[in-house]
Amino acid sequence: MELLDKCINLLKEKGADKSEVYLTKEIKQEMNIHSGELKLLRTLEEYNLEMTAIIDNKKDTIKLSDIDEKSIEEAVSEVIHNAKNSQPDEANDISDVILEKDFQDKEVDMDINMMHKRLHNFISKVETDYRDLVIEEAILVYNDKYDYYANSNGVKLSSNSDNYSFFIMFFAKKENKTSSFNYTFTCTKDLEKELLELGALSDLLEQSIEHLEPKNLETKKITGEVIITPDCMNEMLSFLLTHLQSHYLISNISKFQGKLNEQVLDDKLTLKTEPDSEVLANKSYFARDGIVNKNDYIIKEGVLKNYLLDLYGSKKTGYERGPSTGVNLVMENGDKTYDEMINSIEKGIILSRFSGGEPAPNGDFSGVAKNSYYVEDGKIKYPIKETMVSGNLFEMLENIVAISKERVNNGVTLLPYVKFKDVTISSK
Amino acid sequence: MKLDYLKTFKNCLDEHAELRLQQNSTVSLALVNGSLVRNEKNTSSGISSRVYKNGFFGFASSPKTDEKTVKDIINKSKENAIMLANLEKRNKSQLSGENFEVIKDFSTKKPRVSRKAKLDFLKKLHEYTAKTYKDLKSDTFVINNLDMEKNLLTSFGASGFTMIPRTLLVISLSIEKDGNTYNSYDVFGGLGQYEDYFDNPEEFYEKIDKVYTKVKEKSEGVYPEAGYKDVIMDSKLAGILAHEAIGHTTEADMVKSGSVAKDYFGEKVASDLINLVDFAYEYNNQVCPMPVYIDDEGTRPEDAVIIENGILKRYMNNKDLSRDLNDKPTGNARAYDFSDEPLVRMRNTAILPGDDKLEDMIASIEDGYYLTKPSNGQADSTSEFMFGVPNGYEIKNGKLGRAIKDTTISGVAFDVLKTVSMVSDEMTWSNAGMCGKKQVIPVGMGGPAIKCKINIGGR
Repeated sequence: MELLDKCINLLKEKGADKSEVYLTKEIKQEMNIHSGELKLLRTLEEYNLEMTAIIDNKKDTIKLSDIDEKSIEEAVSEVIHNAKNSQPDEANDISDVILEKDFQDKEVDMDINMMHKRLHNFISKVETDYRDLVIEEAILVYNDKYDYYANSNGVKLSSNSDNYSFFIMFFAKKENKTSSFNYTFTCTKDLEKELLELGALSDLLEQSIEHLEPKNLETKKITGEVIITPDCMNEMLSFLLTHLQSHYLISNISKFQGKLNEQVLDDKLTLKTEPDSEVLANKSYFARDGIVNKNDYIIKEGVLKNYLLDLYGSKKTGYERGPSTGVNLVMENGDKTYDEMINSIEKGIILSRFSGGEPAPNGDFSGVAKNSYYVEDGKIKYPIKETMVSGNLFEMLENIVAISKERVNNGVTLLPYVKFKDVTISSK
Repeated sequence: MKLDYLKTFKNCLDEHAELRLQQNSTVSLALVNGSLVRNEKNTSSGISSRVYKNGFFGFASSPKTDEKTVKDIINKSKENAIMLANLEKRNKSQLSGENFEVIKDFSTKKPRVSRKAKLDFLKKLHEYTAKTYKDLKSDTFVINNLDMEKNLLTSFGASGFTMIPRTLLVISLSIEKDGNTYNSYDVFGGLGQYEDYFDNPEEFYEKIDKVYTKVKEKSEGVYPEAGYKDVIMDSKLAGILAHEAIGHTTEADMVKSGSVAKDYFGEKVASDLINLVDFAYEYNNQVCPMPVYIDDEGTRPEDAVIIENGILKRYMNNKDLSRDLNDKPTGNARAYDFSDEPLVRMRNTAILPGDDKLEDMIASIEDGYYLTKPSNGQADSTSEFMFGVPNGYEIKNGKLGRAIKDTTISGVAFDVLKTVSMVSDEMTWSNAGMCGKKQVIPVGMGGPAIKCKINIGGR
């Protein structure tokens, strides 16, 4: 905090009317598997200092990783010079929610031997139980993150949280048959569990092996139902969130412009942001605008409860600053089991990974259904290949068929399976 | 010079080691409907060391670059390599390396302009747009500049200073029709700094007009019919095809893992018309969009001819993987930030031009699509790929028809390339590619227009 106070004083001395400083310090220990072999041990200590100066409503921001005295002094002079020559905007402001607070997550210790043990057990288990599986890349990281924020209004926030994260990319290979790759990310507080027990990993590995022999759809084009898995739902939701965040709302191209407290999506859908969640390993106590994040509804039974604006977006649009900018998503579960959702499909697919073009602002999307299955008369028939899905994401979210009781917790999101209708599914 | 400073640590590199002193500096300005919503500079700088021991890599980095920290980082990377080697209890022989030096600086030769001048440039583009096109819902103009300055020293004596800048202008326009919002954008600039491309805003008015025409056409356009179709992929799509569809499956780490390209080495994987190369730094005596003169392992890069007359000839690799694949290093080991380790990455991947004329290619299609622009793309271990297509036209009876709305195309690359029946004689480079694979990295992509059969999403 001393460094931040020093920066704030320097910015004031050089002429800033208002200023804010955000410093992150991250210590990482990372073990990497490449092409099935444990190959790299990596140690990082990273700093990122972000300083913002506002002069006559004109703003500039500078970020630097080298935080020695000389670098900071040069950066202060530069940010002041550029702020003076920037464009005035009354929305340029800093937080006036005066608060001094330190947030501390439960600490875990980095245990390099346990990291090695878990990775080794994982490789061994894959070799015995998933014989045709290839671990293309796997990264187990211990992250210890410190965040500090201060501004010229007197706001002072700090936090420390640590956890382990695991990213893996894999596919199956048998003789000259190769499956599509798949990947998943999980974040966990400690390494008490084996890696295979995290998220939906064991199911995903199994799916890849089943995809050694996928088929084209027998009917070239159908309009059917689609169950989107939690891993895939995560990607679909990121598009929904763009319409609730600053860029789209400032640009006036959001689907949800002026729709607060209106029924905008199906009433089965309840989506929350839980930056300080009881159930997720990841924590995000405050944001870069110096405002404390809070757990709250984004969508409640289909009604839009909050935008996910930062302070600038809030001032620019006139809407309230969001409970967060869209971190740690939790979707409420539904009343059907995953099996019941499959059983009621006449014709459709289970979409496990979507490889597609960015959806258009109107929600139209199309892309390839990867690691996915064809379902007919309530039964999973076969893994599919070279199959495209297309539809309109907003129309789908306005007409949800069912949401599963089961949810997958990957430490950053807690999401169920969601079933939609009237999706175009076409094959070569 | 920073390289001279780096060389003072030569005697500390007693194992197989690479020492990199790097600074990435980015400046980004974004003007949305005339409001400056982003005005920032980010400098990421520091030292990293990677050591190879018995088949394992140890890596460490720090933003501090004083003598003590550099020595600590070298020692820490060594400790990491030894720790991993001891934990894994395997042994593999050491790698070799060259002794040469490269100095390449692509900094602008023109006088540098202020941030204010850049903002004024963007404001002029907005003012022209707002005055000329009253029916737009939103206009966005973004300038992104990345200056990547690397100093490298290896234990074998290879050393290099390279300053590779890239500056891009994004013009993005949105329009509303029947309650739906449509967007179109284009990107300009490339290798070089701001001053090399953007001194006169009036030169960009015509480009704004073209983006407006595209978004207007799209808003009035039709959904393509989903299915397997004859298409002309314009040169910008051929570049991303080279990168996504073939490039990724022929990266040596993917090949070692077992990508489908491993099974096809030396075999016919494409029409005779297809030649595909990952260029290190030059094509036809012209500097490529993302030139690599020394890679981040200290290898002198060479062009990797991946497909020659339809035959799969070579993979892109690094030192360690080249040994596994009985090849010599191609110089494809690249890292993005100072704190990133080098990975096998593409540089400037392109399909080479043929002899056909674009108009003849369009005329040869009875019912299909002319796809003019890609957005994002993704490859697969199976060589199945997809790209987003934000702009294109129907082709009916050999003539261009209505514009189409956003769609996605997909196919299995080695199957699609066998369907290529015409290749145009004009080649263009895309200067704006960013490839994601643990780290992001700027890449060049190039190609001619090609005629093939492909799966298209739609309704």
